[in-house]
Amino acid sequence: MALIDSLPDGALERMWREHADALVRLATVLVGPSEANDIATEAFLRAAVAAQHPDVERPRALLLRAVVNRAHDLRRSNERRWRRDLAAVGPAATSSPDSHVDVRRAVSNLSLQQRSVLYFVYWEDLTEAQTAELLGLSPGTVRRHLVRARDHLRKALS
Amino acid sequence: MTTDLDHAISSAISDLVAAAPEPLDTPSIATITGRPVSRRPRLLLATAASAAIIGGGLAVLAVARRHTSTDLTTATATDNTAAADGRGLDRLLYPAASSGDATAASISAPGGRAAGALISPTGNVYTVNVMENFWGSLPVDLEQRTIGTIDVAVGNQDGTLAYTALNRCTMIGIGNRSPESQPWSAEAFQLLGATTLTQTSASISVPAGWTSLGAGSLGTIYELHFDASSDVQGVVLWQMPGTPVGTLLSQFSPGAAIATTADGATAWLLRGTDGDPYNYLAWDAAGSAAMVGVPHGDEAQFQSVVSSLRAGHAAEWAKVLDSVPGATGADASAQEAESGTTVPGTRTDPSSSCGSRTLTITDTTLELVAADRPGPVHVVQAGETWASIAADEGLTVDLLLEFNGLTTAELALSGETIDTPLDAGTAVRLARVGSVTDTTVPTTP
Repeated sequence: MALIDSLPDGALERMWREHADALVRLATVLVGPSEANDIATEAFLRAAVAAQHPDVERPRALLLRAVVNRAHDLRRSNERRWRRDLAAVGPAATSSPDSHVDVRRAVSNLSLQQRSVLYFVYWEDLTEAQTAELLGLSPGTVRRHLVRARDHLRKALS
Repeated sequence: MTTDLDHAISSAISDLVAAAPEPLDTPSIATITGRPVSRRPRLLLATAASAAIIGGGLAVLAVARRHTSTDLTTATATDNTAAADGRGLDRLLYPAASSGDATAASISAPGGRAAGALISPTGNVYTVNVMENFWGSLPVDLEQRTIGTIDVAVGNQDGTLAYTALNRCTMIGIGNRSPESQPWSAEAFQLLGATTLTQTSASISVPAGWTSLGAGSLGTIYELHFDASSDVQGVVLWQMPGTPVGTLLSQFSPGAAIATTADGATAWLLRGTDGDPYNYLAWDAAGSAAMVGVPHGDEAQFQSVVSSLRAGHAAEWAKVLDSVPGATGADASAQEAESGTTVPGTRTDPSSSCGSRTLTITDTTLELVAADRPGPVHVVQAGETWASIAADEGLTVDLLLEFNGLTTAELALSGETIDTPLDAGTAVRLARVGSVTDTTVPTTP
């Protein structure tokens, strides 16, 4: 309890309020909606103390990375259910088969790392270099994930 | 230039994001969205806590939410594979310890990482959790040292320590959370000294005078709620078929307390922390971990369960579990097989860059070995490239790329060449995946 308790009063809650939306959004893309809050809160509590450290210049990036790490951590047992959750997501109006649904399903079959990269590039509008820095990967690795993810999705569309 | 594919991807990501639930009001109470069965997340969280990473910090996540039988029924019907498999709800008689009805049997599948527990000569229970790619998640203000070739981090609250292998693929957390424990305890370091950790294996030779309580990966948990009323948390019974009790204990980081023995089984008392809705009793039921949780603060009911175990009713509790369709036997095995089990008692834990691992246990060895071993690997040093590694290892570049699932054409698509520096610290395979069969699983004590 000491580490969390060492934070100033209310700091944890303030930080959560500031970043919760982004963390839960990312977690939803990675693991689906039903586990998103679990993953986001677990990751947040793991990284919250570190994120407050004066040496940490970009706490949000650290927290987002913690979400990716937490999803990786729990991948094995939950992957199948996550994919089910992800593939099932979408407006009711898209329940009929169409390519849009196919892409969504294909996204759910990507690796967590590929999904992470897609999220940051396509939703957060980060560059490959920024995504690489955030995820602690080389730009080449991010590029490779992106190429493979797009290739996979292209095939799903064709 | 934005292409149709980009539009489709953006749209798909947008759909996924749109499904994001509202964040919890506070991160300190982990309600479980759409799945009110409160037990499973604590197991997962406690795993990290017992690895000394942020220790008690995670304790604030203990679920305080009250759930109802109705909630549980709904959750079982919508979320659990049990319902999908037609093995969902069942009504069971409550065993002799108390009265009431079991209202639900549900199945959840928590994290599959390897874990176990050992008892020190002084009676302290030490937990061992093996995780992968976890080092980067450590809080930066933990005390950290490098001892020889391993990095060590120490929890400053729980007397626990954690350390990692060369390429940080494997990390072991050694924990003891008994109130009297101290950071850097001699016992914890004795275990550290008894540990062999490499990129593809981890083992602890159980030191003289210590006792192993077993190790393995958490498998399927069967959860029964005995709750006659609709708005009060009742007694909950869990069973983890094929999971040794040491693995279960490792999720709680118990102290030394041994509550009672009955029917030849040792029952462990696991007092829930503040905010945890339950106190627990756990024991080994014929090789499967079993645990009863009683609502926190209901001392009379808790003592009732203790008395039941002392009176030799552990077998009756186990029979209740046996009567759950799918909770034991072939059905359970089938489900485990789907999630990656190889043989009973030995579970694989696939990883991305570090190969698959299997934790196994004998009377004298707590061991994690590579099952689908990636073969020899090379840990990339700063500045190294595919070409330089291939030259150093006496391989052709194409062969090295093939071992790692790549071609030069794919590299080119990624804007890389064989001379592009690789990420330092990552593992590069020097043989085909699965080309080495594990032969190091100990078979004799």
